[in-house]
Amino acid sequence: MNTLKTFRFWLEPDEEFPRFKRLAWELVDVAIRDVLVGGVHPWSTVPEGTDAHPSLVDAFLQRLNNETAKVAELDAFGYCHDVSAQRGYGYVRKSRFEQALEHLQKDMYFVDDLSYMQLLDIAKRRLRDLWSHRVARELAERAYTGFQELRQFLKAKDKSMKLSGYGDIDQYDLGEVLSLEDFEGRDTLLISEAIPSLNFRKASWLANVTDGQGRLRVVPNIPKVTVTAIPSGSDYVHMVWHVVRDGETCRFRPEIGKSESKRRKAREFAEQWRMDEGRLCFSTSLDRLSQMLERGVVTPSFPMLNYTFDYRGPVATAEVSENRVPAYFIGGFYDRKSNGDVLKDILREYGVSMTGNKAKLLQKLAKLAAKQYADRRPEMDAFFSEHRFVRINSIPPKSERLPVLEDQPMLRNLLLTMYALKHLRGNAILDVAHDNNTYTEEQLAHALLQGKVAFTGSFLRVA
Amino acid sequence: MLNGSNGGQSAIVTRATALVPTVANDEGLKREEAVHKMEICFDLLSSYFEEGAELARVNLIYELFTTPDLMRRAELLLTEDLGEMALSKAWTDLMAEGRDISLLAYTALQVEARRPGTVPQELLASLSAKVSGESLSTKCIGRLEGDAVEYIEEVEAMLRQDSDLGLLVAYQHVSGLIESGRVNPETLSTTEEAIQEDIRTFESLLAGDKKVKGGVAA
Repeated sequence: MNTLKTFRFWLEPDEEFPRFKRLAWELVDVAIRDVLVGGVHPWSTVPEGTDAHPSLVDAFLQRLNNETAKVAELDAFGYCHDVSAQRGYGYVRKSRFEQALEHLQKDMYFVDDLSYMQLLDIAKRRLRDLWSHRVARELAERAYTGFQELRQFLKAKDKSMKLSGYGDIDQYDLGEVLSLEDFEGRDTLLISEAIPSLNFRKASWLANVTDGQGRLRVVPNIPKVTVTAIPSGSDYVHMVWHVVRDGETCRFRPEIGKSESKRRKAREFAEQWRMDEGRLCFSTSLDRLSQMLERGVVTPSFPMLNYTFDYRGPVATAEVSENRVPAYFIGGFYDRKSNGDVLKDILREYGVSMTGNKAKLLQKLAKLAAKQYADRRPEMDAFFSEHRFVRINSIPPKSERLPVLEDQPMLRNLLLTMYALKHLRGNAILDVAHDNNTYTEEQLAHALLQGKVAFTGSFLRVA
Repeated sequence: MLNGSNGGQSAIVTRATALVPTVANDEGLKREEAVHKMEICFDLLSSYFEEGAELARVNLIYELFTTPDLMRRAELLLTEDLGEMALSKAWTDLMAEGRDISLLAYTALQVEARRPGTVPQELLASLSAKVSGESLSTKCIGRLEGDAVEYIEEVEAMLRQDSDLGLLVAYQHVSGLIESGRVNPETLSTTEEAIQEDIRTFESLLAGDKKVKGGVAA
């Protein structure tokens, strides 16, 4: 099973001007070897209407607009103008590259060798073949743009003509009145009237964008490919390998990220396909890569392929499993910003009177905290004697709550904050033996509840 | 190191002045800053010299202010009694530096928790601020890219340490290794050795040993 396609181009004679050639193409299968070693462009039509490789059309047209692709003598007369890519419209379900090809097919001729005089001669012969009233009138009107000028020209050819307006012209058969010789010297007019597309390129240009089989190729080789595992079985893991070819060797590097299952799958895959000792990243042959595609094990893509600048593209990555130095935090507590009902709930829980305004409630709460602090201090002393901590300013992600006073959810954080502030030495070392006695316990609780003092940061264990 | 017992102030001046261009070049400091450092260093050295004794201490202070090796500075700061002025100045200088000193700050706090008074008290809060939360987990370690993916398990093995200190040391070394973009069996082995050596050194610092990095500090 090979999903790779590419364009095969050729030039075929134009129906009207057999000496001129038109661009023609078809989509054909291509082997991964021909892509990587031969540089054949891997065409992708998915998603429909988009350019999987937007740089392709730019590189293709850049080569088409190169001076070497132009017919020098015709270029001097403006018959080899540059072509730019269509902007691409959502309603046109075609890629910009395909639209560009269709434009070239319609509006460009390819010639082996053509001088200006030969072009003029072809134009004259064409006009002679098509000579008629319509052609003669068209030429006359383009040669003499004002009516009076045109009338003067026609009267000079046939004095019997009576012309008072453009409508009178068709009363006569200008094909009889005029001949091609009447436009002698008006070469540009004759050429543009005879030849519908006035943009020429050398037929030999095609070799610049194709390989020996006419397949689309704008670079000598394509060194990188990304392969994706094709779903099979219930244990499918979405796996991607970034592959770099060097000669006949392909180096596979898996995209693992932080996934354990991808790591396992990459290991299994390496064991199956490697030709070295690699456990996750491995080397194998180009032939084995071809086998992978043929057997439908992986599908190729070329996200790193860019023809207009050196794009490094995605690289294989792996992230280490997460672990961390344990850090502990205390957490917030109810204070002056809390709803009065919440403060009453705490007081009710401890059987304290709930009367008074918010300031009174906070005073009662501070008194309650001081009493609870005294009651629970032995427990906290024991805990912080057994588990020593230093404070740091930051609170690292996934820090844990200090595992103490867990039976006291409503006052726990307030009591621990009080303890920390009373026992922090240098605001850094939590030392049971150290005692900041600037405040009494009740004053400290009140200051905390009023937001006048605060504790920030987290704790790390003392080794 | 200053050697011998017959040196004079002129010798110290010569040594200290000779230090200036080296510091300016190596550390990229402005010349004025280098001169300022030299003056302080000279003051400290000369005052000790005038006492006519403790040349070993002079040598250590000289080293404290001149070594670019952060680990050696940590050893001197945390294990040597070099006088309040010298230590305070050295700690302040260290804190003012732009580089990440999380590991050193963490170790200093640990030492201070074990041996109160090792670190100037006025600097403890600043040390707390110097322990970066990012340095405390594998989040500080970049992704392995390209062929380095092959060594994900070896790298993870280095990150499995028994102690918090070991974890911090490993994070720092592995982070540097991955940033270097040179992850291969040789650099993995070198990094593993460096981690073990640093852990031993820091554990010695925590224990208050003066024997660190395979030798005796002066």
